[in-house]
Amino acid sequence: MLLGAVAFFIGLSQLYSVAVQPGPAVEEIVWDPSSAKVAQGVATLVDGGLEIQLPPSGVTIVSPSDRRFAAQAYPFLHIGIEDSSQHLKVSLSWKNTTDANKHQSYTLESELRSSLWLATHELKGWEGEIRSLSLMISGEPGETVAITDFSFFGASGSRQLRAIFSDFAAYAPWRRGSMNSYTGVTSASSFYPVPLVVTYLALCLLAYALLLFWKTKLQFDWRVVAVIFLACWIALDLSWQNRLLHQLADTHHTFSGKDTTEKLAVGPDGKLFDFVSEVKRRLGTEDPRIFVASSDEYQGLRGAYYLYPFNVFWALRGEELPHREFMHSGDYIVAIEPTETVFSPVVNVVGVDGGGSAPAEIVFSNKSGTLYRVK
Amino acid sequence: MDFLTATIALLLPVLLGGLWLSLFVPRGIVARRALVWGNGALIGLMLIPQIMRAQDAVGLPLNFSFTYSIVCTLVVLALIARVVITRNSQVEYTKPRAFAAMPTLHRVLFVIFLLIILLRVATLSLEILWRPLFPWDATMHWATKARVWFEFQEMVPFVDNFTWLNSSGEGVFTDRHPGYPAAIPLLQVWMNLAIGHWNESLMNLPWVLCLLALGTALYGQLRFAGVNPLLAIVAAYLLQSMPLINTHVALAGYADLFLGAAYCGALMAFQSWVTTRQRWQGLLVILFAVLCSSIKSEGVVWALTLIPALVVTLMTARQAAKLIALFTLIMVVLLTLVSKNTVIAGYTIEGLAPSLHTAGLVGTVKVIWLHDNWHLFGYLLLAMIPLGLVLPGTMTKKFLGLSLALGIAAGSYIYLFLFTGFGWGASNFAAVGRLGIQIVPGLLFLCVLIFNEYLDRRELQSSADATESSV
Repeated sequence: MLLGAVAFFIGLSQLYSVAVQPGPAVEEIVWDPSSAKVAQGVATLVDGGLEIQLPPSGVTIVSPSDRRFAAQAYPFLHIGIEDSSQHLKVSLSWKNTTDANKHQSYTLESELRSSLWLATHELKGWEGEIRSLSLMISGEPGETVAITDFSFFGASGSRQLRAIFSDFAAYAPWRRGSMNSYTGVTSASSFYPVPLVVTYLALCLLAYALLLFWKTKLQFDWRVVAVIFLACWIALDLSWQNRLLHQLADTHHTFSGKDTTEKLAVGPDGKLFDFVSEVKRRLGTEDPRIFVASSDEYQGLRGAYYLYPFNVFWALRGEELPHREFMHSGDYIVAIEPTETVFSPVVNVVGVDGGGSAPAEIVFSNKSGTLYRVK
Repeated sequence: MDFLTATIALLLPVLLGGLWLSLFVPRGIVARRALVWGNGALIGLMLIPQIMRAQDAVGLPLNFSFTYSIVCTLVVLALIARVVITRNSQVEYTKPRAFAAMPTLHRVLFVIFLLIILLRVATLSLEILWRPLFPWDATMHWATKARVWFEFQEMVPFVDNFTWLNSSGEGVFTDRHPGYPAAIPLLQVWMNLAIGHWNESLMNLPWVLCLLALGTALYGQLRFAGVNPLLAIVAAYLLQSMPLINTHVALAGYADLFLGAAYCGALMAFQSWVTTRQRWQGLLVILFAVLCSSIKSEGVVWALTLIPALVVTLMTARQAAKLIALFTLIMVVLLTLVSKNTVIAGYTIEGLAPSLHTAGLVGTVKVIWLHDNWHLFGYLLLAMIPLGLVLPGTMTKKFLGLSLALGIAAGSYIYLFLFTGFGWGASNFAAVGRLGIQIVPGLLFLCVLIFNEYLDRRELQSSADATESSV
């Protein structure tokens, strides 16, 4: 396995030099908190970094400097952000000279940001000359975030390895597509982990084959192959277990100690659940039919689900509302934002342009949606 | 209190399946406990919904007390039968001491892998305990039924949107897939009935039990097939560490894991029956095959793959070839003559008509060999299948039936995503991975058997060489 590792790193360095064209050595763009501009929030210089208290909007923009640089010369970024928030969102934003009018951005997918190496050369739009570079941080109002590093580096094999390690150790929470496939990568990943590990496995086996060829006294032992295979499997599994444990910490932080209603209220559908809970409260002991209308599939789907066990109608495809003849007096329409459903107070009709409509009155409305009763 | 009642609701199916199965499994066989409790737990989990369906069919409400009484009665009957059988049995059984007979290093490694599995199961269990229902399809057409049936304590009919609109929703509900089988929603209803109120976390505990039971059953069946304990526990670890399978436990609510467990259970029992002709294994095949179709529509297809497997097992090669050729001819004629709107396993013939989708090919390849859904299993398959073909008689005789069943299953899988409109489900990774969960456990079982066959032949060869040189 040691021989395989050597061959692996040699191969990786050759592949690396093909993938990233290292030009002349460039001076690192090292993070200087004293020259950083902070658009909103209260910024304080602390030992080794910049501490920012987020403003009431919860959003701040940090520009490291006005320096412009060639994207290709700086294919690696090291970010260090210390925060206690679970749901801080950090985005890298820039413009380049190739498409000067377009704002390019990349939202950090990994939530482990205390020391994150990013292969910027993998980012879409990281080309030409980079200007207007900034870091947008979005979190809870009043939250304190410390930026300990935001430095750009030139090409080198060791930085590529660090970026690969960051990918292996990264953690991104569950998302809607998690049930379909686990890629093991982010948009900034240089390699898929499986082919990388398989390459290492193949090189180890090749090294073993060569050893058998050169050392004729050595006999083939299937256990060597099995151990190599298992070691590679476990390496991938360690990364996966690491993600699971981080996810578990996240889940525990958000949901533990709560009953179902409380969990749903603090979960990703919190606002929607609150809205639907209010709808159900307004419906009381009635047993009506409910039509769920939304132009967002996810919101419509979840809204409909939370409304059960009421008799709910929601269509994944087609118009948000069915034809008028299917909606009767006493029915309810729950329009969940975003929705194309509009209410005309002049004629007291709710409907969708080009689709179904019905005479109705508003029962209640907030930012998440509106409850109508069909008259 | 919720946790206690949920635990009881989980324990009962284990006892139901395990105790009844133990009546049929001979004493003294290798890995008996793993076979009984692994397979038994799976059967129990899948039988509970069937009991509830029967309850509803005769007009009884879905309530915990009644189902609990039926299950407890069956458990008690099994216990009584077990006592009677044990009392009447004249045969003394010697428990195999496989673990103690292993070299120390193997025992240490065995325990290490067992601990890793337990760590994984514990991680996933806590995720379920804390997290409410999350995944898309779960809230679109599985838990929707569970919610309504739990509330009304009856299996209120679900119909499609059009029918619902035309009937003004009188006495019927609707969701995205009203015709989906009832097993998974009923399992969630069972859990909620035990808890006494709707609990979106505890109702998903059966998923972690399914994973544990599947791993145990796999271990047991591999040991039964002659695989040594270390290799068997490693196989269980490989299965229970696959990320996409883990995800389907952590974000519980889909039916794919249960279908994968049922199909794998059927395949393993089939292979064991072919080798030993023990009736209880034959019974397991039939039970699991029937249960496949009660979980998801495509379960019918997986169950049907066992028929050609049975044909090649019971007949000579020539007879089997003739029968399969005749069957294929009949199918071609039928498919040509019947209406294109005829539904097979939930899909119309028109929808299954062949047309190449190259994007589906790319997506399928990515999901198996590029993404980390199965860790290195895709590559293990690439190594083991050729090995199986190269070892004389392995896949053409010893594992012929199993190989044929899985070959047809894999072929159907590839056909669906490369040659039908479902190619979109591969190009955007929406379905190709999830369907993979349904056949990967069975494929892993075959891979381990092939590898074990290779080890056995090497050992035989070494012994033969040693004997020859001593002579």
